Amino acid sequence: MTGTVRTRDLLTGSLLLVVALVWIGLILTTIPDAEGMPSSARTFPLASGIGLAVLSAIVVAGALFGNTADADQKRAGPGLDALEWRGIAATFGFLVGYIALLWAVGFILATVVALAAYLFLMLGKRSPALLIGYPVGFALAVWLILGKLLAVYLPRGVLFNLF
Amino acid sequence: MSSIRSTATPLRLFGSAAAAALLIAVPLGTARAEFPDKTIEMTTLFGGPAQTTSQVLADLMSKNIGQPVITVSRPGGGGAIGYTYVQSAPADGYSIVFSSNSISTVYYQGNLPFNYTALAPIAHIGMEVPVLAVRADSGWKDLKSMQAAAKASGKKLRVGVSGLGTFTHLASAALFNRLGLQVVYIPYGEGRAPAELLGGRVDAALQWSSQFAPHVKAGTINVLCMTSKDKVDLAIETVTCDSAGATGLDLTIWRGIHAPKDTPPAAIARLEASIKQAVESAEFKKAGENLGFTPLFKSAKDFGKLVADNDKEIGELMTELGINKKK
Amino acid sequence: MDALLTALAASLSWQSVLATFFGSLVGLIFGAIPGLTYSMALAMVLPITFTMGHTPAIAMLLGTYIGGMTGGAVSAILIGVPGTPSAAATVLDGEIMGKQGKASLAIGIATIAGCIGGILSLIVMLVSVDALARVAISFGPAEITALVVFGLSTICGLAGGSLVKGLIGGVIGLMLMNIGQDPIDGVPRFTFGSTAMLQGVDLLVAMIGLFAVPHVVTVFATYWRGKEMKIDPGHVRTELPSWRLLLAQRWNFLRSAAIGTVVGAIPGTGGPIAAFLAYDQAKRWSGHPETFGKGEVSGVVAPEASNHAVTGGAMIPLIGLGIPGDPATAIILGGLLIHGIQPGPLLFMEKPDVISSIYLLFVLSYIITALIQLFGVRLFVKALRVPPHLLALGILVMCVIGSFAIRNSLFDVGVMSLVGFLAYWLIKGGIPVTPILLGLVLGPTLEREARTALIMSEGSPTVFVESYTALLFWGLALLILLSQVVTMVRERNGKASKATT
Repeated sequence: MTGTVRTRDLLTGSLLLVVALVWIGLILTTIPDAEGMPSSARTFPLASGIGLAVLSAIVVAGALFGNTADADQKRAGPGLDALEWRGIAATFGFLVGYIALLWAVGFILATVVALAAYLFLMLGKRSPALLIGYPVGFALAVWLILGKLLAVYLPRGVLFNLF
Repeated sequence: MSSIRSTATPLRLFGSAAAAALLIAVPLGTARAEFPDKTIEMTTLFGGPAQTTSQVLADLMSKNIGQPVITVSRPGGGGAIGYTYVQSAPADGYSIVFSSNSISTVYYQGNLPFNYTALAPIAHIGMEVPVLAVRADSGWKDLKSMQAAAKASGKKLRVGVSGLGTFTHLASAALFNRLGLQVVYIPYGEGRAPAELLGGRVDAALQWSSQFAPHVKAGTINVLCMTSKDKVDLAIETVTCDSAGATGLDLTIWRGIHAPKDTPPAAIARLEASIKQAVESAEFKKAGENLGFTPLFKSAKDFGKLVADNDKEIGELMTELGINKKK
Repeated sequence: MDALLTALAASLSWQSVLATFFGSLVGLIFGAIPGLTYSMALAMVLPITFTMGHTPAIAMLLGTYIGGMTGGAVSAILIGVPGTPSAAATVLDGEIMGKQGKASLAIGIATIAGCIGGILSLIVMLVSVDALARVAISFGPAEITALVVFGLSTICGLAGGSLVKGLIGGVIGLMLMNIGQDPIDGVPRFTFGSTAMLQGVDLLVAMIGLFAVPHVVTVFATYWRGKEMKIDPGHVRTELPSWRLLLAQRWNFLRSAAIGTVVGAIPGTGGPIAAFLAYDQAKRWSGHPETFGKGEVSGVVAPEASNHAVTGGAMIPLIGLGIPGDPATAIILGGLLIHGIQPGPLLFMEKPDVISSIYLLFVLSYIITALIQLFGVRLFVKALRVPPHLLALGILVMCVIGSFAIRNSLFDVGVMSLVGFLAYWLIKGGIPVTPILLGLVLGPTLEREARTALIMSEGSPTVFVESYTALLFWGLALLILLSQVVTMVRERNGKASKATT
């Protein structure tokens, strides 16, 4: 997706067009139509799907036939370099791992482990004060203020809980 | 939309020092091994007055069972999300659900893979009796005059319900079928009944009496009847639909507590006793009066029978209406 | 007069002031954390009020409601993630002001705008509770549909470069909200037979993913590039708005508060739509619309004055008719009922002292909330001294907790992550985020109201144009769309003529 506005629009437009068509297909096969009713469970998803199909087709057409001379020169924002990919992978890796930990061992343990692991592995922190202080301090502060004082329900683990 | 814990957190100290002292004092005297020795979680399925009722109940149970009882809201899917959560929770007595007829309606709608038999009944805590309301300027003073006017006009009556397939829809359908009237059901969200009525967009609405109380007193809305067979004390004085022309109509919403199926009998008995004490307290009665809810304790056995009978009735009603996906 | 004096004494007792303070503080904290909202804070404080006298109980509920509305702006400005959907429009200029080192100024002006907006809405309530309650009742499904479409028309002003891409954003928002259970018949949509999927995409869950995840990804990438900004302690100074600045915003205050009060009074609409409408109007009436989205003070004032005016607006049907317009006022209604106070027309005659207390406590809540917030600004902006990559990690954890707490469901945390992932790619593909949020907020209301209207009319679409109110909003929406098209054509011609010469 690096490059000019024209290539970016072409890619975005055609991807969204595919999404819209799959969406419409799903509606026609999985959502029942109500006979004789002015509107049904189908009406709104179908209208949105058709809307997206039409709009993304306009974007594709604009990218193919548009005569905006500067579209070929203008770069579409900062490109996707290796570090950007790493940012995406790291963020989603963290979320997936953290959700799994929360499910298994509950809020406190999951938060301490996930934060410490991320600081050490992804952010390259080596200072023991930060590696222990930040995760433990953060988890305890949230647990005390939100969990205990303000009575917000925090995730409890199915395997075991620390509190 | 919310998660709440009405518990012995430091916050509670602020509200009532006496209650807090009680909460702290009681656990000290309880043997560790006995049920309960940790927090009990009561799953709630909906917001609004039902949620407030569950909070009052949890609060009162906390005071007599020796451990905090917290309400945790798990809304969505017309109740399906919360029922599924409790059904799959460990059957140790620490997971209970503030249940209602919605377990039958979502099941027959095809949105719940199991029915009431997958949960163990603990106690009936009360019922809500919907009433039929109309605008005062319609001139309809009772069910008969409404029936006559609607038949004479030849037009379909527009009746507001909470949502299609919900309990108010079923109860309205049962009522208007008995009256032999042609009806269009308008599903608006919870709590909008008085606005839709006063705005003239629906001709009648079936809802909980407390919503209509201020308007009845102000003389803008008339309440025609209640859907239970026996007369109950409501915020508004009215007759039963059964006596007013819809003979045989008896539909009320039950509210109670269920636990996962294999919960040990000892835990169920302890919870049942705690609920009995809470439901029969003066505080709960007062809260019920203010919230438009009729407290009535029934034991696990009686409650189980009531749920089964009611489920059968709802199933038949939904088949009649053509919205039963299970049969 | 007696009633007023009794009410004054009761409202200014130390118990009431303390209860208000406590409520405001809890509300502010809940409001400032994305995912934790004032409805949740209200449900949490409600059991505490059970054992109180009725005046402190009302004080605590109102304090929580108002504190929660105010808290939303803090995270919108500091981290670019709205604390509540009502503060989503505040992100547009507030976040930029924060990046320009004017975070404290932005929070200060948001607080004062909120306070003024709220109190103006109370004045409207005092003068015209009966008239406005009647207006509120006249809004049926057809009228609300038209109002929502008018709200969606603000996408035009928010789309930035391309109207088509703005509309794509809006449609994607609508589509996300279609997943789950259908709001009318309860038919499952796109659930693939799974019970967990029945709960669908919650607005708050999607909002957190939409704003927070792309932000966090960018911060980490910037850190690894070695381009993270060094923090200059002097950069984060505490500066509060001057009188001159406030005075210059007087028309903006009035206009935004008026929009907020009216929208708030209509059941089933609420804060986000009021905030976006006010933002759009502020931009249109401003002599320099090009500064909006670049750290314009009016762009913070408008949504904050408007969403706070919603609090007063929402009290109109609640107090006047006993009709709650949203989940938050439904909980307040529960709190009033349990103390034996039945809101409605009779309350004004039977218990005028209670009405006076509600009005007085409303003002008290605003004053206390504003004081806490202005006092807290110094503390809040300290968060900006934390290195961005460490702050981002903390934000990520808070987003997980916030999206979990909404319905106590890990499924929602997964949805939040997926929506965040999707949002990241859409931003890369040139699709603006704000229209997606508008689609998310307004989509479910639009579907529910439009379909209810059609059921009411037994299928006849003329129901949508039968009332003057509906026609007015259709007309306004059309006007905005046309003016946008005209502007675009003019701009294109301007460019073309420049290119040829």
